Amino acid sequence: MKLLAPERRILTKGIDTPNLNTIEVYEKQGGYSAMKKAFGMAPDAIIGEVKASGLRGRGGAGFPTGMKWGFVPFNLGKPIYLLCNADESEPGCFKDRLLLEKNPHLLIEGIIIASFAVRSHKSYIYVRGEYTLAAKIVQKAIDEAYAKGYLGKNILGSKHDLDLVLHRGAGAYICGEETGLISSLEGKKGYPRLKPPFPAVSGFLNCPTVVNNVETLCTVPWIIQNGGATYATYGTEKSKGTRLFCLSGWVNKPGVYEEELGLPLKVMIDHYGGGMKDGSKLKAVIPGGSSTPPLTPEEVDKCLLDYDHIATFGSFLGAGGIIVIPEHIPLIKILERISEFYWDESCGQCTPCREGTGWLFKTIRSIEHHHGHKEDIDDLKRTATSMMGATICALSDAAAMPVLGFLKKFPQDFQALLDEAERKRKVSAGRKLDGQETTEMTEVTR
Amino acid sequence: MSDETKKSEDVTKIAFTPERQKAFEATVAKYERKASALLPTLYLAQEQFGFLSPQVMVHVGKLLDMPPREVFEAASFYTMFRKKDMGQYLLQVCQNVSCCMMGSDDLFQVIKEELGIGPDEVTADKKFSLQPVQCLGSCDTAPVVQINDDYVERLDAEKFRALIKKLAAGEKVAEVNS
Amino acid sequence: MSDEKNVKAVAPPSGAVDQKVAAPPPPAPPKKTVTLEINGMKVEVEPGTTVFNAAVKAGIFIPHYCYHPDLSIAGVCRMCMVEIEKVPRPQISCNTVATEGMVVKTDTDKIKETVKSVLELHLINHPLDCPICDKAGECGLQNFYRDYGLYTPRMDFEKVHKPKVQDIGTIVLDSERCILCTRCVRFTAEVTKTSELGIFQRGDRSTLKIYDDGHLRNDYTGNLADICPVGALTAKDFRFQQRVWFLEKTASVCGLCAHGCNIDVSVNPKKNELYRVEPRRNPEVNKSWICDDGRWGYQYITADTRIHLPKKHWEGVWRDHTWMDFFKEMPALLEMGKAVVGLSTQMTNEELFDLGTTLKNLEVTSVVRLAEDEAVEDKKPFDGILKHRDLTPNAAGFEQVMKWLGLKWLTLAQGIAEVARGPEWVFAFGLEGGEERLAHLQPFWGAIPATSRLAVHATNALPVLSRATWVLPNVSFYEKNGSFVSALNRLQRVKAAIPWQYMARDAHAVALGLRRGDDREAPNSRAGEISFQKVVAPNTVSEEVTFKKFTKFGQNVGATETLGGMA
Repeated sequence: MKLLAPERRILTKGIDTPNLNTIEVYEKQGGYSAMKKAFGMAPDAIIGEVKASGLRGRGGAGFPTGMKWGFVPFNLGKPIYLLCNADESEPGCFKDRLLLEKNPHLLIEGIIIASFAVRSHKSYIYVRGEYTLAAKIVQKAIDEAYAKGYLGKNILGSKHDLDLVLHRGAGAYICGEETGLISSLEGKKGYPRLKPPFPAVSGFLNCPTVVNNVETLCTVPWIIQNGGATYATYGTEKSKGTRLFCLSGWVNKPGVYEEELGLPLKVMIDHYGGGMKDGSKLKAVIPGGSSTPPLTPEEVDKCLLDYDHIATFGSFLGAGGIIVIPEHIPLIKILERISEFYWDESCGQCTPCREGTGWLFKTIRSIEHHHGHKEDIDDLKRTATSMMGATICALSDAAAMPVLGFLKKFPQDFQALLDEAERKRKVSAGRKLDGQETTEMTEVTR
Repeated sequence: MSDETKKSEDVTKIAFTPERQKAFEATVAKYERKASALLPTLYLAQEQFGFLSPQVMVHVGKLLDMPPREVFEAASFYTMFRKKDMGQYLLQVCQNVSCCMMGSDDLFQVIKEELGIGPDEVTADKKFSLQPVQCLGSCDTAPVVQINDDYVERLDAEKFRALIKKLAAGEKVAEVNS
Repeated sequence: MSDEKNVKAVAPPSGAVDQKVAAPPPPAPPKKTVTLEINGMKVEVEPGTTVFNAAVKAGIFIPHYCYHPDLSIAGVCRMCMVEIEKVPRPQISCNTVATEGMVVKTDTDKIKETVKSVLELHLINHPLDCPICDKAGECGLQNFYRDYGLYTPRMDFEKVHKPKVQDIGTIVLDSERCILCTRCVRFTAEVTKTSELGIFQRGDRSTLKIYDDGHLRNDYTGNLADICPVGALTAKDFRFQQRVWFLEKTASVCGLCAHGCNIDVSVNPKKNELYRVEPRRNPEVNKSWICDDGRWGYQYITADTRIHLPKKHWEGVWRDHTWMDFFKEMPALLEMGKAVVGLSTQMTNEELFDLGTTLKNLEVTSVVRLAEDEAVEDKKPFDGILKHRDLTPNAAGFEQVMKWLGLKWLTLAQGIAEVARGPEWVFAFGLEGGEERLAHLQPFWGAIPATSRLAVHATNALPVLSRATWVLPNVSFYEKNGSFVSALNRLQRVKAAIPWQYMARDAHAVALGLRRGDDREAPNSRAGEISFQKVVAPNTVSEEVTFKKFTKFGQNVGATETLGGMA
């Protein structure tokens, strides 16, 4: 297996260069040349390049970016908004933070090019509230770009105007959902919106709106500089390009690693992650952030990190958060944290999600605390299944999928806990009986 | 809300400091609609008043021409807005998958014992408050604790004890971190 | 009279509510229809119609909580799921626009299973306190549980607890029973635009409450209890009063202002007691709303001040009398042409016609319209929703009826001048309600010189009655059959929900008594029905229409030419 050579990296090449987050250093590294090139192109040609690159959204859903841009109706006479989704909040994902903190100008350049392509003159970066450092760095970068004339009116004589505003969220995972983000940016609770209408037609302030992830937009300058076709030579036939993978959990070298799509997961863990920490045995891997169903060690050995291959194992690349779980950590604890997260973060708008996430969490927590009942597994499956596809946004699915995934891939772990709970119940009932009246005996034997 | 508090914290008396008023106006100018400035305005208000009291929220609603109901809703929806006063340092301990695997539960216990407070409580000297939080997006440096604006990474019991000593002595988190 | 019929043709002004509440209409779509199939039935609808409304048109019921025809689409309860051919998963019908050739199924096993599981999720944190809940019997949770649920509950964890029994003014809020459908939030945001109610926190902690824990502050609070599909918002005045299954509804029209909101009057027929008044949906008049005054204004009919018997004040003594005594005395007085007769615009068209006919025959020349002149001219609701300044329901009908009769009349201002001249007798017929509702008559009463004698036909005691000679008990519009013409020129049917009480008589009976000089014919509320068919319907809508057949939604009858009184 050939690894991606550092000089071939698209997003993280030279990312550790000191002060890369200043405009001087960024430009010294060749920054903003793609923007200049883009201004020499027709907007549709830019969309064409992005389409040719095969770039898919890196926020989790994996929707083809060029196609998304192509949906925008340019002739409605309404302003068009380009929103950068920097509300990275899925447990296990921290790649956007790296880009925001280390290379904010790459993002700004990507936004300028994208806005030019989709004819947008106002753009917002919606950064999650907790990312205060990133917000400061990006704001400074925006100020620098304005000072250089890369933002504002008639950028470099291109006749393209763009105002870019950094907007901080305030602690709500759901604002990473594109319509939730739009609601939040309008000053409301981050309630996702009914579709139709789709944001491309009626989004922010009921105007056509494109929402792209940080990593997606950061990829755009390279595509413009080197051509969509060149980008398409990276990765596999159907999963083109490179991605940032966030490696965390029980590995020796956790971190963000850029690799071509199609890399074996095992290589990611062993080579980049430096293998299992303390030589522990692998129990499971969550491959794309907390909402993606886990993989068993056997599947990890076979799985390639591309959109289609991972799907054959019933999971997804999601937002690239690879969480490595060792043998000694009880899976129920992992699942409890995941379920707690979705229970905590459900916006509460749709009944199946609002009530379902709580129910799943309570059931899983009771299993973890050895209060489970033998019906619990079936109940969890039924509840989770009924939450799938039942709501306005995908948070309900995101809560249900890991539950179904863990139960399917590791049934014995959960069964063992339920058996243990039953056994304990019998023992404690027995103990209680020893010194007590016989009438209770009949209760138990019944 | 009792009548006493209503009287003592008259909405009409609530106002931003001149600098914050200026910052507020600059913020509003960035957006197409005033309402979009809700979150930044609430941040400004929280910065000045420490937390978002009903009176402050009503004031923000007036500033942004929004029904107060929407301000109250948003303030209760987003976790970073405080409904009561917190300590000088708010310690937010990530409890999610990667951090939990790397020992955040134990760390949380240690912090609780060291500070002698539970979640959402304030130490007697008003210096520290504690909250469990969801994933902070720093899983590679787990376990992580956010102290006000700064992340403190790969924290364990020992490092934590040293940290609070320094903070209590007046050092800044950023200095401690580096 | 026949030449008056052309008023029908005049284009009616559309409801003012619609203009205020609804979004501006989209650009006119090309005139064509969309045909889809629902449960094997072909349904033809306007383009842009949702699957939900197409089903309504086809008479197919789809369970729902958050959808409300007069509020924006929320799409959050997820109950209205349907299967659409070529769409992999069930979709909510309230936000799915019907397209040509769409094949929809609402009754498959898959849908029943889906609705059942969504319902189960609605119920896991619901307190299930039906035995002490006033919504029982008309609760969406109970109804759909019967239709779709009937499962054994699986959730045995502690439920999420939220504040209960919160006094928010006219309404009691139980946040725990709330299923967060947001109808009430949308109502206060979109209809009253007061935005008191909101949903705070998030996830399963989401809690419905007033943002500052205060009270509701709008004039339409009662509607919240109506639109709440569960028992979270209940009307304080109805709490623990009556189980809904003991009540019978009568479709009528509100007589407490000129808007003519359509209402249902609920009465326990065993006791003949009125328990509540609710809006009856009429998209062209009041949508699904009524104001609180209209809803709770009925108390005067059972108030202590209600007049039960005719009384005469003679030589310093009040005595109970019979109607006979009055009828024997009156015609002579009227005929002398020395009387001023005030007619309240609270009377039905039929009453006005009957009484007007009698007055005409008696050659009474001074007829006064007992309505506030300026308020009558104000045809639109002053609050932009439903409330009119004119608190009488039938000023528009009054004008029409007088025109049919060719009876000249005086405005209140002219009437005041007329009574100031000191006629021997002043009569006021058809008054309803107490002092407050009849405040506009103060100057009229005040203008009557002490030398003039006064006879008042009213439902409730008024300060002016202390100086009257005759006090005659009137019937309220909850007890009448007949019709009103609203400020929007809509002819609507008033139906008696409760029988007449004690010796109260409507103006039909008064007219009959005056004509015949006796009270031999038993009074009954049928006179209004007959009069409607004989006079009102032929003059407004059609000769074919009987009282029973007339649409309960009313009909626009065009603008009348204002005679402007006897100038």
